[in-house]
Amino acid sequence: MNRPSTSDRSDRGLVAALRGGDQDALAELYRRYADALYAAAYRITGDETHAQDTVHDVFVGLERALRSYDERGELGAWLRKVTVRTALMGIRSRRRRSRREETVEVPTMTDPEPVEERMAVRAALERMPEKLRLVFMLKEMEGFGHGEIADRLGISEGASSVRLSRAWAYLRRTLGGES
Amino acid sequence: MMIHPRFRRLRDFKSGELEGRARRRVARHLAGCPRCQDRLRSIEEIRSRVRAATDLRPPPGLWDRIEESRSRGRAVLLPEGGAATMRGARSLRPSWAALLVLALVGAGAVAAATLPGSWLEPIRDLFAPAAEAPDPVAGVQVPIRGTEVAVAVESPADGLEIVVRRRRGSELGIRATGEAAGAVFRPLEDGVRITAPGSGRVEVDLPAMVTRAVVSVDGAPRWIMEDGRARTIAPAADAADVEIRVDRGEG
Repeated sequence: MNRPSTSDRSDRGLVAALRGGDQDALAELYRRYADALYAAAYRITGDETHAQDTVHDVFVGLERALRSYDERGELGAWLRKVTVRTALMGIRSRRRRSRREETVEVPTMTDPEPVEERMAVRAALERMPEKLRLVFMLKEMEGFGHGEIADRLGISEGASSVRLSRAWAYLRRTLGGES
Repeated sequence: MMIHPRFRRLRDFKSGELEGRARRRVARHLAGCPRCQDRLRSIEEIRSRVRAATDLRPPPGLWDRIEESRSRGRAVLLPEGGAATMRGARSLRPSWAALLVLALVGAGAVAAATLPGSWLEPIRDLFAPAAEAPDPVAGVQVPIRGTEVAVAVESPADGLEIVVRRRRGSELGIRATGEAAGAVFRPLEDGVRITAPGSGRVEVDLPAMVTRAVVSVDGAPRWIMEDGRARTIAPAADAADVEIRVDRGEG
C-alpha cells in the first residue's frame, strides 16, 4: 500500500497519524510549525532558553495533548494557543534571571535586516517591565483580545488595557516612534 | 483649532478595533492631518520592528533534544483545556513516566519488581484517575550528596497536604499534584524550596541514605526526621493549615 509521505499529508492527516503512533508525523509537524511556535514562545518569555524549553515541551507533550484537540479549528492556531499557554505557565515558575545571563548568543534571524537594529529592539523589549511586555505581545503579536489576556494573566480587562497603553508609551519613547 | 485623536484611538483604528462612527471620524481626520498620518505610520513601524526583532528560529539542536526526551520516555502535560502544569518541573523523569504507563495498564507485578512496596498503592491511586482526567503534575529531583535534607515550603494555602516517603536512590524527589503543580520549585543545596504550592498535594521522597530531614513551612520547622524517627511540630496559631504526614509509617 502506498502511503503518502508525511510532507504531503494535511495537518489533519498528520494528527491522525500521530495519534496512531507515527513518529514521522511529529517530525513533520515540527518542520511545519516550529518556527512560528518558537517565535511566539520567545515573544512571551522574552528569553531564548525558555522559548526552547517551551517548544520542547509542546512537542514532547503533543501526542498526549492531541487527545483534547477536537479538530474544529486550524491546527496551527491551536498549537499557537498551546504554546502561549505553556510559555505563560513557564513564566510563573521560571528562574530566568540567572539563566538569561547565559543567553547571549546572536539569534538566528529570518531575514537579513541589520542585526544591530534587531538587537536594539530586543534590548528595549528586555528592559520593558514583564507585565507590560506580556500584554503587548499577547495583544499586538498574538492577536489576543483584552478579555482573553485578562483571563490568562489573572488581571482585569481594564488593567490589560492600561498595561497595553503603557507598553506602547514605553516603546514609542524607547524606539523613537514618538512623533 | 484641530483636535487630534489620542494615540490609543489611532492604535485601535490601525488594528481595526475602532468601528462605526468613531472610525469614520478618525478616518476623516487622518485624511487632512499629516501629523496623525505620521503617528499612524509609527504604530505600524513599531509593530513591524518588534515582530522582526522577535521572529527568531529555533536552534538546530532543538529537535534532537525533543527526540531524546521522547526516546527516554519523558512525559509533559501541556496546559490545554484547563489542565495545566509548570515549566521547569513539568517534565516527568523517565522512571515516573514509566510508572505512569505501568499504572495505567495495571501492571502491578512489574511495578512491584522495580519499586519499594510502599510506593505501589499511592502511585496507582494517583495515576489511575489521570487516564480519564489528567491532573496537573509537576516535580523535581535533586541529587543529594550528604545525609541531611531540607524541604522549605513557602506561602502555602490552607489545606496543603505533604506526604513524606523513603525511596531508593540518591535523589530527593518532589512530586506535586493538583493546585500544587503550579508551585515554583527551586533546588537548594541538598534540598528544595517550594514556593506558592496552593492547597494541592506534595509528595516528598527521601533518599534512603538520608538520616535527617526537615520540612519547614514559611521558615518554621514543621516536621523533622532524625535517626529514623519523625515528629511533627505544632504550627503557630497564625500558620497555614498544612498537613504533613509520613506515608505508611516510613521514616
